[in-house]
Amino acid sequence: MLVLVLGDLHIPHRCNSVPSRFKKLLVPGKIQHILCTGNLCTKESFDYLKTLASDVHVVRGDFDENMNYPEQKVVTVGQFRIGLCHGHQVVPWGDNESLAMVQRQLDVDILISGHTHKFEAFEHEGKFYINPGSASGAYNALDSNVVPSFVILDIQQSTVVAYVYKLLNDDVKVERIEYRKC
Amino acid sequence: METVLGKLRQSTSRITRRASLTGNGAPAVTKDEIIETIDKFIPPVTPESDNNNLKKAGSHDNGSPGSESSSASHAHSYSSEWERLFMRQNYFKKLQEQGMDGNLRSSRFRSVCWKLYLKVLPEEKENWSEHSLVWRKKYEDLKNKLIVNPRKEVEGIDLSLNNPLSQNNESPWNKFFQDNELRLTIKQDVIRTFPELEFFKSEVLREMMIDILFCFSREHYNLSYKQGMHELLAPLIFVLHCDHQAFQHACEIESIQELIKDIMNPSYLEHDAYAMFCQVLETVEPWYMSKDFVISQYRGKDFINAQPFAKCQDLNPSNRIVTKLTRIQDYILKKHDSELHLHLERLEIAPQIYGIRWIRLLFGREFPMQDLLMLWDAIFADGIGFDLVDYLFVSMLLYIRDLLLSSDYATCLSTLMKFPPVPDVHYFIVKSLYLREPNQYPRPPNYTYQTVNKIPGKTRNHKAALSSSRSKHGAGGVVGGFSTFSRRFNRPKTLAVSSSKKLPKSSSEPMNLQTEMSPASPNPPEGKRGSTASLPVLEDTTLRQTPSASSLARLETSSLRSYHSSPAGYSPGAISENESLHSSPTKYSTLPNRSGRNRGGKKLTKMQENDIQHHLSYLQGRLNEKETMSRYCSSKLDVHIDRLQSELQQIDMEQNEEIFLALAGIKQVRDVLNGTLKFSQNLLDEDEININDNHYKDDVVIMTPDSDIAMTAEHDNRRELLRKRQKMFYQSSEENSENAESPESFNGVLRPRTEFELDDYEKHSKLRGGNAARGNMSESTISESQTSLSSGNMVDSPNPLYCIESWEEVDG
Repeated sequence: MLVLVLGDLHIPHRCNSVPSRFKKLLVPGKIQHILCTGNLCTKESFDYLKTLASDVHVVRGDFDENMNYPEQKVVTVGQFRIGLCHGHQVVPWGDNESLAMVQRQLDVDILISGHTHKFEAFEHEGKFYINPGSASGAYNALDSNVVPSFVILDIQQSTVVAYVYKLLNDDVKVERIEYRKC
Repeated sequence: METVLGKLRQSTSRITRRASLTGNGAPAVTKDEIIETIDKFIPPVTPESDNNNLKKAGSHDNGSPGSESSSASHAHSYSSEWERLFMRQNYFKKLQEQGMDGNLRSSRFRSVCWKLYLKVLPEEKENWSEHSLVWRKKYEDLKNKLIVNPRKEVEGIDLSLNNPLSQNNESPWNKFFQDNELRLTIKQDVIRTFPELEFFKSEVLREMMIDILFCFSREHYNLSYKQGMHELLAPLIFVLHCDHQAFQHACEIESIQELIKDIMNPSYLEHDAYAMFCQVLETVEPWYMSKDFVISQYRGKDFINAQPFAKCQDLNPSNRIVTKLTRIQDYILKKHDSELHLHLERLEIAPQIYGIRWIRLLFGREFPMQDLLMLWDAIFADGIGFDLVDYLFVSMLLYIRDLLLSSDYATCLSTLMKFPPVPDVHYFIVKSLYLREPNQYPRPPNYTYQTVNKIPGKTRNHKAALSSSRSKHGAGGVVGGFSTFSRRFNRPKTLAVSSSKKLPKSSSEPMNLQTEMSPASPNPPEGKRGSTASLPVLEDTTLRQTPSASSLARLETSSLRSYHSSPAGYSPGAISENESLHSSPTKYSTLPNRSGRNRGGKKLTKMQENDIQHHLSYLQGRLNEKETMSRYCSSKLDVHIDRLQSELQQIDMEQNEEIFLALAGIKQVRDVLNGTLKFSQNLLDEDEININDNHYKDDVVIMTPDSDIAMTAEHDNRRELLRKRQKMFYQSSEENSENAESPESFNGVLRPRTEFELDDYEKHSKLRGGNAARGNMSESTISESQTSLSSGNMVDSPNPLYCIESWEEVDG
């Protein structure tokens, strides 16, 4: 089962759109679920995600127009409980220990957060943490040089394979990270 | 005129249908009764073959020749059935025959037979295991190659290719997604395969079907998967599965040789199914080819040169299935039943509408599974080309021809789309064999839906409702209304007069119908089709006798006969199956009248009407029974006459004349029984052939003539004798030609006749007409004697009126 993980689009405030190379890759019919870390900002971005898959889960970022998105969300895909949180609430931003607290709070196997606009995926105390970065490559409060990236999770029984798509010099690079639930 | 006929037909069919409906449980012509009647005439299983069975049951190593009765198979062990089927000399030919005869129905090796028919297995048994191994390996390889799992191929492939979103054609993920699309399409169909069978509901089986279909469609790129293929695969799997079950059961009981174990290995169900499916599709493939593919092939060539007014479905000549269907309808159907062809043409029911499904699924949706398997036995056994399909198609149409002819567009379509239940599928096989090669196969008894129908619950109601509503607007209502009008006509009521004036103006139909009502009126429209003279009389008698149902039934048949004997009748032409074509006009001339009478005249209550219907159907059954009996008698007589005649010809006897006269007399009796010769009252009055009369002696006296008076008397006598001899010859010639034409009718084996057979009448009357003509040309004496003939016993007059009257008198 394929799950698209992305966030921090900041369209139209900081970026005009998702890179066309990404748009080409993202076609409907392949992805079953979309987990979005927030900061879509406008409804249009949400609608775009809806065209890729019908099942879209979004949590509220600090720039989201829609105030109805929840702060945190737990989605169960296969055998995995996946926690979703934008991450601006977790200070220091992107800190392992702080995120581990949220993970414990939500009691999830995988915690997905954003806000830092920097891709990260690591295992910490047997749990998996993913930060998909910014899919549009929008700048961040601390950094203006952001690499656009998103993640595809291929979830099979007790294994998750994360495919990371990055746009480096107008070229899509793919990385593969495997996580096994223990 | 056509519409009047059509409406009349509708109302008649309604009545006949009702007749069969009311006969529920009551003494009507039920299917059982018919079967019973047939059973009476089918020669019992010969003791010879019984002995064989016993012998085989005792020890199955003695070759066991003959005895192909399928019922025997149950009595045998598994291995002996195997031996019986496959271990004989020339077994393949016999196997084909068995398939044609529907004898594989209870066989435990049907799948093996099918494999043989489909050339999955070669004819030589030594190569069987080798061949099946090849097929199985082929499928295994295919499956490994085609069913990709991108998650398994982690190493080796570049990540830029091997990622879920890659759109490169080389990417396993991309392939995987494309495959998934196809599998989804297949799955959608597979889960709807034979929903009435529990067998097809298991998840494992569905997966297997999807895999097979998937592998096939990937292997055949230009065809790919088309809807309908799953319905071809399902019966194959079903048969394999059943055989495997039987095999496993047999394994527990007895030891089985290695070859059987190899062939029947249940773990190769999927592989074997694939092999058979491939072979079936080999033939069926062109019928599945879609338009776009063919067009893309032909694109660029001068494709615009289509006929200016061709129908849109004809425009694409390269669509194979359409060509095939058009050929079936325009060539085969037209040849065998031009009326039905015309009817379908007029309604603009193209064969594509219903036929694509029939053909593509090999009739899979038209019959229940067991019947379907039997049909497939025959189709496969007939040869890898499935040539029989075309003729099966036509025989199916002929089976429901009455229903179609009496229906309008919507009903026709719904009948074609939902084929009515069929009691005996084997009939279609026999019929289609006959249609294909009339010379080689015996003509099967006629058998149409209307006569044997038993419409199950829902459809019946639906149809009854349909027909009743139709009759309200159609002929029935008009006739009924009119008869009341004409009754009230005596009273000078303005309403009645004005309406009766108005109606004929508004449409020409009621006028004809009304004239039909009155006995003294000019001929009804049917007159043009048949003999003009007979119909008014018919009307007359009907009106006189309406309340009695028995007379009606009789009348119907007698009028039918008259119809056929009349040389002026509707030219039979190339049509061979026009049984009800002929029956219809006469039926219509009688039946609507009755309904009109009932409504206008006595005002019978519904109950009474039902009662009459009841009675009518019962009598019809009795009549049919008697008919069959007399037919049987006549055929038996015929055999014996033949034997006698051949004997007599060898020994040139002294008193040949007398014996031949006697023979001629017997022949006449036979013909009366057979129905070719009209049974008139005159036959009762005098014994037509007086063997003991003095003709023969007079003939001797002729040698010495005395006086003029004696001379003339003798002359007369001589002429008489001549006539009789002539009759004799003329009948034997008829017989001969008949023998040549239909091998079946006189070979002593009586085929089961389920119903009144009109083709035979037709054949006879045709022959007779032909013979009479021949006689006229050859000798002038015949024309002289023919007058005496017609006034005498041989009722051979072209005027059927005469026969009917006499018939009526005799029976009434």
